[in-house]
Amino acid sequence: MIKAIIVDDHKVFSDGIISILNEVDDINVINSATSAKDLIDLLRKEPVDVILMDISLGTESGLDITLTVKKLYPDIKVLILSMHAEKGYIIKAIESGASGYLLKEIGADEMVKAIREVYNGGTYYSQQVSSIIVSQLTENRSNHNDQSVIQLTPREREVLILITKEYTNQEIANELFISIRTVDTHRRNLLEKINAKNTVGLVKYAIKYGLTDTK
Amino acid sequence: MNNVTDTYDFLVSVMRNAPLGILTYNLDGTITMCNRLATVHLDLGESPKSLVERTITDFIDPSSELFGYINDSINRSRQDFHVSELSFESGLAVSVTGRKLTNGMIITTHDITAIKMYQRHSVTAMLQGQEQERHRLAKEIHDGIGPLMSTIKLNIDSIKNDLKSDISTATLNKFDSIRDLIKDVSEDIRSISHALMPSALRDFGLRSALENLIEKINDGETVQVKLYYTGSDARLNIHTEIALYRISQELINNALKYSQAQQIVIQLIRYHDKVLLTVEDNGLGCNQQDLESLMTSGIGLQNISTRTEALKGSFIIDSSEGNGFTGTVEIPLNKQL
Repeated sequence: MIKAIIVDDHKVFSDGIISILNEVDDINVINSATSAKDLIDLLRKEPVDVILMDISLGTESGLDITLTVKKLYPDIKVLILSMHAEKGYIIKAIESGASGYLLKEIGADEMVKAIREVYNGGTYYSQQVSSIIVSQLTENRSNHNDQSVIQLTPREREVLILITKEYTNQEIANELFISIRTVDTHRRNLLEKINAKNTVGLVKYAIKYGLTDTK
Repeated sequence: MNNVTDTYDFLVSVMRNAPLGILTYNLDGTITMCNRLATVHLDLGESPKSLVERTITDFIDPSSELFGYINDSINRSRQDFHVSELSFESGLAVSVTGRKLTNGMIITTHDITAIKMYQRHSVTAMLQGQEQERHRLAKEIHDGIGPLMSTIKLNIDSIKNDLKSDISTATLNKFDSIRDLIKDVSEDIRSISHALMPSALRDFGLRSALENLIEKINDGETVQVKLYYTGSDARLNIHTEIALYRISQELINNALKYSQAQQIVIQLIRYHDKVLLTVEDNGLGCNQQDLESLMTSGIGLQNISTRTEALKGSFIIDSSEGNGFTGTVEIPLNKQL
């Protein structure tokens, strides 16, 4: 029997979950908590296997509570059950030691599946969540490859190339059909991003990374 | 007053003690009279006495609107003029009025620093109140109605499992359509709440919120949006973050609606003393005339101006027909209200 507890500040929601999950033979949701203090008190009395944890709990964050629980009870598995589908929350949940992340919109069947999975030491992320994790990983990889070169926008590359060709701001403006004020902004941004003191620094950078001609 | 000396002394004392800056110059631009307040308000850098007999144009910033009027009054034709705001690095803001005299011009100046400050304060208070209310609504929808919908959906699901065996296909179809509707409503609720105030903006900051926003656009639209971020990841003041997020949203929406661009580039650079945001597209662009009317009557761009001004920043747009559209916003840091 998997013993579980739910942490959510909405009584209606936790009651709903409890009534549905308790119809499942191998799951027993013994209680619900609405705050960190509540939860710790309950765990002291009776430890559980799995905690279903909401993130937005009024003034408290379920992610902070996860961190605390994992410190006190490393063996308890935390399964996040939240409305938030943004990258920041998911990453922080994983960092805090959660074993899984479900969006509240999922069905009862999937919830049962997820509880069994994390109880057996596995991880479970609902479909939308795992696609966000994958996109984050691929993004990290592409940034990693580019580490040596500062990320210049296409326009900045054009401006830099024209600078190496000794174009004045006015000439660059005419060439690119933009105002001289915008050219000046691009130039200042290039100095800041490349960390150069003056035009010579920009040209040195352009030569080093082969940004001297459009062709 | 009995004689000329008395009249002169009286006029001088009026000029000295008047609560406004006064300066007169004759037809060729030679300063004839000037009081101390005028030297302060116009940042002339010299005492009233030493300015008399000198040329006014030598003391005014040639790039300023005021210089244009004064220069015209000397070299073209004399016209009354009014500059509603002249600002200086020091924070001083003045209004300047020029009136024709029989043989020259008189300039009067008013210190409007306090008025401008009150205006900025009230705009800031208005914007912050609006954002606070949006935040409250978003939270109520997200944390209140959202979980209720989830509960309904869970219960419907579990009923379905119970009923499956002994109901007709028609009833089962009705049941499924209810279930789909609930799912649609849940999604709508989430996107409404998100549009009001993305919780990731408050919890994780501007960069994270912009990444989420762009991801969503790239999922649905044919346009490619790319974010370039340079500089510290440290959080900014929440009001600045909200302003920059709203401005980005506005500029991106403009590009999506009008530009027919294939690519939108958003760049955020954190300098040590300012933040610079540019949103650039490669779409249709517009000519100078349309640009001016957009700037004065387009609600979206006016919102950006208002938000930028409240943070003492600047907003410029640059576009020409067929050559895309660039909006640049600069917000100074450390100088905020």
